[in-house]
Amino acid sequence: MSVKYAKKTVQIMISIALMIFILFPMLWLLLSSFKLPLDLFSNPPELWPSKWTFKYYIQLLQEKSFTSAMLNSLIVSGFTTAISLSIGALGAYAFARFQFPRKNAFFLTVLASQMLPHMALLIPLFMIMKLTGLLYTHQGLILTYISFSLPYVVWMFRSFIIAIPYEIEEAAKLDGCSRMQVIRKIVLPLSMGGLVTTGIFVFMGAWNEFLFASAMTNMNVKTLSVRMAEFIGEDRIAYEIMFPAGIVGSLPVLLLVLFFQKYIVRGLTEGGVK
Amino acid sequence: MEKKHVKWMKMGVIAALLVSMLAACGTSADKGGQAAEGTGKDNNENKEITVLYLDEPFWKQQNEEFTAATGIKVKYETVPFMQLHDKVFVSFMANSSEYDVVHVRDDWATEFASKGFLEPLDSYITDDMKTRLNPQTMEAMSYQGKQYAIPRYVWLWQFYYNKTLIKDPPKTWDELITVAKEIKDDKVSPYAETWGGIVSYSSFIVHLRSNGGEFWDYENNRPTFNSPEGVAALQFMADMNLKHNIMSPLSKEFTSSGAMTEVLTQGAIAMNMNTPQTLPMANDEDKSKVVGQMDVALIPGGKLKTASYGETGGLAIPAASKNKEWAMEYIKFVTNADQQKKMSLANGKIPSDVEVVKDADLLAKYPHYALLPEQMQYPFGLFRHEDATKITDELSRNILAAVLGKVTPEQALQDAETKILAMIGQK
Repeated sequence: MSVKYAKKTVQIMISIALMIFILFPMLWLLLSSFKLPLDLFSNPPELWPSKWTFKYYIQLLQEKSFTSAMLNSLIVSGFTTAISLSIGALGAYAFARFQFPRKNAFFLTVLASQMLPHMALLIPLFMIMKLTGLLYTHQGLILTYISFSLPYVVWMFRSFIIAIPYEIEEAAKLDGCSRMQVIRKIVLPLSMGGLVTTGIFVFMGAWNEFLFASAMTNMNVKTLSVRMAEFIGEDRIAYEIMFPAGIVGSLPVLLLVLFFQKYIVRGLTEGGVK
Repeated sequence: MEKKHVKWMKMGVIAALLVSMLAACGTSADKGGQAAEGTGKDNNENKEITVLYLDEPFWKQQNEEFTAATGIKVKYETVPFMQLHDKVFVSFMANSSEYDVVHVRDDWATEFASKGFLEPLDSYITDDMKTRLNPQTMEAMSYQGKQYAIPRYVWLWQFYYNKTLIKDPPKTWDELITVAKEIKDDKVSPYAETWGGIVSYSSFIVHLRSNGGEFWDYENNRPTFNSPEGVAALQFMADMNLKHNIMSPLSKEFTSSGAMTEVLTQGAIAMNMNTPQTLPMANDEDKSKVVGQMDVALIPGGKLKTASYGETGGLAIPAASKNKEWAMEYIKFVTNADQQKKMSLANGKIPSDVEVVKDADLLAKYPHYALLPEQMQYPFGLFRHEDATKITDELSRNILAAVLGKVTPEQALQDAETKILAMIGQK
């Protein structure tokens, strides 16, 4: 009994240590967002603010450029995720279930497109967007991000579909379902966890992307990652604004994860056949 | 199950509709822009230029004043400072004509001009400009004898010291060591420089200039830092750290003058060379523990009375711009004496106009300006080269190794010179 108790205690202590290790930077960010600049650089560093202030939150949220950047990021990340998942899920199904000549070669080609360094694509993509009139538009950035996220969705989602026993689909076909009905009624519901998890990763990727956003946006479509980088000025870094911006900027992703939590848990456990 | 499908289909339809709406918005916005551009050439009231710089209130206000004075509208695009170079570079590489005025500093002007991205401005330069603007700043904006940008400010290092710890600021680097050793406060590092990452070359260049040396032979495109003056300069830097033990241990971590200022305002550094933001930040009660304690002096010297380091910020016109005349009107406006004074009052940037630096209102607001006319008579410009970043990165790595005692100064400079000569295709 005592050995079991000791084991449990060690497990709990390791879990707490891990939790602190993971959460401490976020706690630091949160507490720093209420500090005055003087406290931010105190030596030795202090965790708690000597004086709590909300003035930088107020200043930040009153900035039209920040709120519009948030909106732009929501538009770009939302559409990137929705479109990537819609097209990617169908592509993944084809790679998982259809037999066609050179299937593996096609699949490798999809994956190979991910191996190119994104930096190398910056100028060609910039020129393409300029020629097509999509430079400095939401659509241009959405298309760019889809081109990066689609192979990832296909690759991830294919493995979720393969895990679904084909017998279930065959049973549905025997019951009179068409191919699209099988996808809608059987494949998507059974792999909803995987779809949501993949979607969250795509959303986060688009939300945090900086390189293409900085080159391919202007005042009208500037995203949050670019706006936040503007707090790093020529003369100094406005940490007192960056910390609240970090908190506010991470809220949408945090809410998304909380909202879809049950699907994510399902995504990690599903795949078994009853 | 059926309800879920309907919900998904509805979401899909809504998404498709929103995409279409967005597409429509984008298209109409583009067409609007083209229409304005098209009519702008025929109608003076619709003249418009696009300017790219930082999201700071003063620059926007300046644009409004320009429009009020000339009728030329300014479409102002902003970008994070750290992305400014790359954003312009991508645009240049794509041969885009979207920007009419871009900001450049010394090394960018050289890099862009060498690739043919910038319009030579010699034909636009007036005698008034030549007499008003500091010759070192004009030189900083030129390449192979041609002027490619007009300077509007300097971000110059001066010597800042804590007057509660130091009575008389050192006039020479040898005096600095004596003064530093007299500071007995355990919580204060006597002196600091920015040696971290790849920026140590900037401190080295000041010591080198003080010794009477120079960094580069521009005529023959060869490094000249590996000279007796250079070795002595690097030996002095290493001695400050290893022999005299007067350096802040954070020096090897500082990758920018801003990072050093943040430690200085905590009262942990007694002396340093730093940018014009130092005194205003040190006297800001929200940011500083040394309010009213810092003062400014000429940077200590050696063979030269003093020397410094600082970038010149200027405005250039891309070669692909379709509105060069209007762009030049803008540049003339924002670099005139009145606008330079307003700029300096608003954000503390040092005017490139030699007379404006002495302006009474500026001196009242910024006491550290009093020493600027003398400091600016001595060398301060950045190193300019098509491959400036690669060259200074290589040198900085070697300098850091020397000041930390990993290699001798002679070896560090010899290694750097060899690699840099190979880099630029010389022997």
